[in-house]
Amino acid sequence: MRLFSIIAKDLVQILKDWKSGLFLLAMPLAFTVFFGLVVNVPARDPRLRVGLVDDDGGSAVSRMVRETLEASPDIRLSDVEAAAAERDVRDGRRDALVVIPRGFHAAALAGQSPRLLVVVDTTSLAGRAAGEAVRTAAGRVLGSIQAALLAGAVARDEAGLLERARRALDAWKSPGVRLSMQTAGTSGGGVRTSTGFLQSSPGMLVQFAIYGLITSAMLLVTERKSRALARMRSSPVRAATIIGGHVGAMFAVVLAQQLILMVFGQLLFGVDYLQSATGSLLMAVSLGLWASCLGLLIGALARKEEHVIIYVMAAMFVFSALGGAWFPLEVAGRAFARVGHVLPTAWAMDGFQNIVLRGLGVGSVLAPAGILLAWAAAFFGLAVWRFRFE
Amino acid sequence: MKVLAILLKDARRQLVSAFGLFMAIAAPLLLTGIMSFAFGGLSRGGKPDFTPTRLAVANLDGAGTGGGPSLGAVIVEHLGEGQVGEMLRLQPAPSGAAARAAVDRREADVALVIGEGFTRAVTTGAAEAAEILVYSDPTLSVGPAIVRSVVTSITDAMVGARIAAGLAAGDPAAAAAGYVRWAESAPTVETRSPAAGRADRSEFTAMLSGIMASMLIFFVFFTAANGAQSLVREQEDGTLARLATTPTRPAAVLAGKSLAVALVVAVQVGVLLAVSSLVFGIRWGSPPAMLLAGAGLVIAATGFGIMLLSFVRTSRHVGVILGVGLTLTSMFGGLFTNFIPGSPPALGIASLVFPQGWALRAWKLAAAGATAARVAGPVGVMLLMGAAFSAVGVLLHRRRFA
Repeated sequence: MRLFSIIAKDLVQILKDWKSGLFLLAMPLAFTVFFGLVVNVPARDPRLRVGLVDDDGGSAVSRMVRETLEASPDIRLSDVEAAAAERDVRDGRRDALVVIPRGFHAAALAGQSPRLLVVVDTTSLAGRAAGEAVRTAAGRVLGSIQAALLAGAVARDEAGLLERARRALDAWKSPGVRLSMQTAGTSGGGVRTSTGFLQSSPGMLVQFAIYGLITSAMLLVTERKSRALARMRSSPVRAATIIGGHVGAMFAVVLAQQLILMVFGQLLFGVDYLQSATGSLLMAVSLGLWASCLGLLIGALARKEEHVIIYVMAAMFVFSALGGAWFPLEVAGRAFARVGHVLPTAWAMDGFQNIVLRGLGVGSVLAPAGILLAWAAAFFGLAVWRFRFE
Repeated sequence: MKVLAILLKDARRQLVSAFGLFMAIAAPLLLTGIMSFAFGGLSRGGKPDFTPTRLAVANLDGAGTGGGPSLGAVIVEHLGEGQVGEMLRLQPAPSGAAARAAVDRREADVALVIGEGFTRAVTTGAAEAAEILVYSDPTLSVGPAIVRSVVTSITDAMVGARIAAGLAAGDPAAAAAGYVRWAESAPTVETRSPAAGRADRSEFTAMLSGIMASMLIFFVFFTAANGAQSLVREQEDGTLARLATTPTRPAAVLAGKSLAVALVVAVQVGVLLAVSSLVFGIRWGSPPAMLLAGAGLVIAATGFGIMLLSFVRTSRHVGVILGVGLTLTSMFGGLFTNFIPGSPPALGIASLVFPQGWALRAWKLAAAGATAARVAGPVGVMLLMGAAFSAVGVLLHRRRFA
């Protein structure tokens, strides 16, 4: 009974402060919406924005390049001015700039393997996709001319050479091969990727589970400084009950926060946590337990209120970034991804994404939940070892 | 003299605060360090250093007509060779279902299924196209893109060879072989990154300087607002009222405290620029451009912090104002999305309303090697905003002396 009294007392103190609602719910929701929209802005036209500069004066070969790019279902082509378009690529307003250099037509017909210049931001997925789409188109145009040359056409008979190259290019309309992309977890085929809300919703769940510890860990420090903890120790209440009560309150707060954020994710952002309700609940419980043990450890180590903020912020930065809450670990370097996957937050992200992205069931979250619980046990042991009542 | 005394007292208090030092210096460097660790290892010795993609391959292609080589096997062989082979870890699968199941069970990242009759379809141009399926884990984008790119380039060479053979009147086999040799040796595009404005900057350093600029601006604004709360605390502690009974004018108190904030953030800017240059190799631009951008940032942040805290009645509300106010203005000022490619244009327009947006413009120009004259534009806006914020803040703070 005393355990529940302490839990209830802490919860009342936390929830009585209206700022708790702001930091526990309003801020994570704001971040989820913001990053969900920024990373995956619904576009009227989802095609890659490619600018074209023709320095070869509209030659026959440059027209073939233009037509092939325009025919690509992935590309939205427009004529641009080179310097401005390059700035657009740098600033993310355009996905690629293609420059057909002067003399391209003559070099291609002479069999000299000229190259298109492609300016892309290779750090962006759209940039890389645009680069590949242009490379494919360039290969087909130059390959068609090469095929015509290999078929015996000669450069001095330009009309004949171009006519054969056109026939070769037309043959690409029926290549005989169809490459299709599918992702796991999509019924009936199709592609679904970790962008927008599918990244930001679980990511902010994980990040703000840590951030929300500020108020509850602060309670511990305040009670220690005011000697309330020491007074409780002099009463018949056991140390385990006091510690358990504070951890229990932290767990309740974090769990409630997560459940509310998951409801918002399900209803407003199209993140299907109910794909496996049991799995989602198991992940929420194990993440809540880990976060509350982290909060206990922070409360044990911090001597002043400002130390709580420092420790929580540092933990949030390190665990969130390295755990893949901010960006998928796949896009980072190998060493970073390896280190990240040691941390509990990476396993939390794995567990949630197994459900919302991969469409897997409760069995897929057993390992992530187990690792979170192991980390929770480690932090709890450390916290109890370091805990002081005064 | 009184202004100086107040300035020194407040500045000393801020500079010895553990929390203040963490948020001013440690946090921005920690965050930039994490990002440097995340993306700095992406390229070692010119080779990409991503985690290899586990590729389950099911080659259902039979032999070609007349018992010739299976083109499906040629694709698989290419996937295991050279630089591509270093990015992929191949696992043979007995069937398409088995390959897909490996991805579903997370034993593989991508499954490649080369359909039956692939060789026949490619070599004869059969009306019914042969299917190649790339089936991937939905949390991945880089690995599937690599597989798609490599497979497309190989199949394009095969289809091109067939088209060349079809055009050739004489020796189709020679034409096809000649095409394949050309496809393997002649690149058709030359790729480069957009000009970062400075020849001595790598793409990674340009990205890192953008991240560090965002961290610099965010935490400078935080430090300024954090320092400006001294007025609120002194009002609650009663020391402001005691000061008011002395010959010290309120204007001197406000001036001293404002200058203390400005001094602390100026020190913060200097330390962060120096450490980021030494540790991360970031070049912040010419000294005049840096000084201008730094001055603009100090004035804008100081004024903004003084104004923000002027709305606070008690210290209980400081956390909310600092947390929510700074977070929202930084978000819409573009600080959190500066390094995310393809951010929506609307965000760029919205950032014009916030001093953080102008600070980011100034620092990005300076880091890209712009002259002081070019940086002066955004800095001018920051100075105007800083002056306006300070005026509003001072007017509102005066009521504390009433």
